[in-house]
Amino acid sequence: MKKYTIRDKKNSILPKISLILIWLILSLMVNNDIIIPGIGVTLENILKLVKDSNFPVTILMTFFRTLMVFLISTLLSVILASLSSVSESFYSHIRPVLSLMASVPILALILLALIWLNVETVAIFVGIVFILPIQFEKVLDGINSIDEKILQMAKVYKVKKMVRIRDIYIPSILIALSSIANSTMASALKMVIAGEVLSQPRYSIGSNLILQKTYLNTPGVFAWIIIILLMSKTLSKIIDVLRKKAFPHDRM
Amino acid sequence: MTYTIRNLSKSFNELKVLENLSMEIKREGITCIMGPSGCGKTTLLNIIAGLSTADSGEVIGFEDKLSYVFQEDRLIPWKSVEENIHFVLKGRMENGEITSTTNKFLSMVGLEEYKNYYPNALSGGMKQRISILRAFVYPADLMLLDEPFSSLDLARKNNLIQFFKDLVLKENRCVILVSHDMDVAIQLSNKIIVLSDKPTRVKKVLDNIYRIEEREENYIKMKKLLEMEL
Repeated sequence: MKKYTIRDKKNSILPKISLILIWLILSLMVNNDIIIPGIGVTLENILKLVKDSNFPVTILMTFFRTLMVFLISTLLSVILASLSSVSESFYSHIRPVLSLMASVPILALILLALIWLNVETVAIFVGIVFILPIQFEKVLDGINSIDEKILQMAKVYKVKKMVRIRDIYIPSILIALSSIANSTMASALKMVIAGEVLSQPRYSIGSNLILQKTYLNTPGVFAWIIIILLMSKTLSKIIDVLRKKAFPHDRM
Repeated sequence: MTYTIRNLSKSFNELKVLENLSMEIKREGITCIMGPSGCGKTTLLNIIAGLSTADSGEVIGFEDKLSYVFQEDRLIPWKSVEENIHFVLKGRMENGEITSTTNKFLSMVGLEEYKNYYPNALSGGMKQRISILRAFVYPADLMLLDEPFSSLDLARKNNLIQFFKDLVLKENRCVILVSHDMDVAIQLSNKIIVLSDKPTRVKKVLDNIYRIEEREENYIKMKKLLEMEL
């Protein structure tokens, strides 16, 4: 077991080092910080950003929006998919709506959201529209793939419906959702930032990115990208920890 | 007192699995229903358990509350051994009683050290033990068993048969067991009902003399009798 974790670590560190090397070589070749900023100047910019008094609230607001997207979409997907699994006609109504949501270009959606909603909610709306169809499918999958044999066992032992829902259905849904939680959270963050770039709420990573771009401060843009990557990584680690806590049977 | 099965018929699409099957089963001890594979033994159990409905005919006298040991363990993967047993008791007892009953049974069979294990950490034989234990912990008057030892190798099978025998000794239950395995039938059951191939009928009802007196010659005698019938 241990051998594999070491190899896994090696496998995940090596590509990162090569990526940084490529960045270093490119920046040296181009030798122009506006096109490809060097590592040093990017680090300087990160420090400058972090020291800014608005930095914590900026990060927190974007994080808050991401979390809202994640929670609202999770809740909606569970409700919609549960209704779909009990009512064929509900499913046939909701399915085209969700597939429409999944196929509309995200930028067109942001533009519409800008017309309909206020600046603060655009990013959240965009995030939800993006991840809801994915989570919906996953929840439905989770419900449909519940082992028929386990349900039969519950029936023979006359287990009450409430207990069946609590002990079989809900865990199955949560296990299905948790299997994609990392990628949904990462997508939520990306979509929220995309929404922020265009709606420009007061405190947000998106509007800061636009600001750096306006000043043609490419190192600043790079600095924000690295901060976003770190944020994404932190979120994914938190999810891993929560998942292990919630589903200890999966640890084997 | 008997359970009665009268003129039971069941087909799946065009395939007739049971046709006018009738039998009486004593309401005590262990009755084994044997027969060639595909003769509808599992279907019969499922009709008795209410998992499947007969096309015609009736089953009379069966309890509403019964427990069932399936061919597979059918444990819930995200629940520990203890929680898997709790699951079938919820709503039947107070929470405190659920815990104490479960603990009593787990320690009775010496498995309390496994109570926090999840099924995927257990061997196939161990999982089937828990599934058998779950059926015993559940307060049912009748227990149905559908080839519960078939997925195991010989040594494990004998172990599990012993495990089952010990439990029956401690917790007297009326059991209907379905099997095509002569050793299982002879070792466990008081009565053996042999079914014919399709159309399924009762071919022979045998009293298991080996269970009256566990002597090797009785075992061989029973085996010979069954070999003639099967």
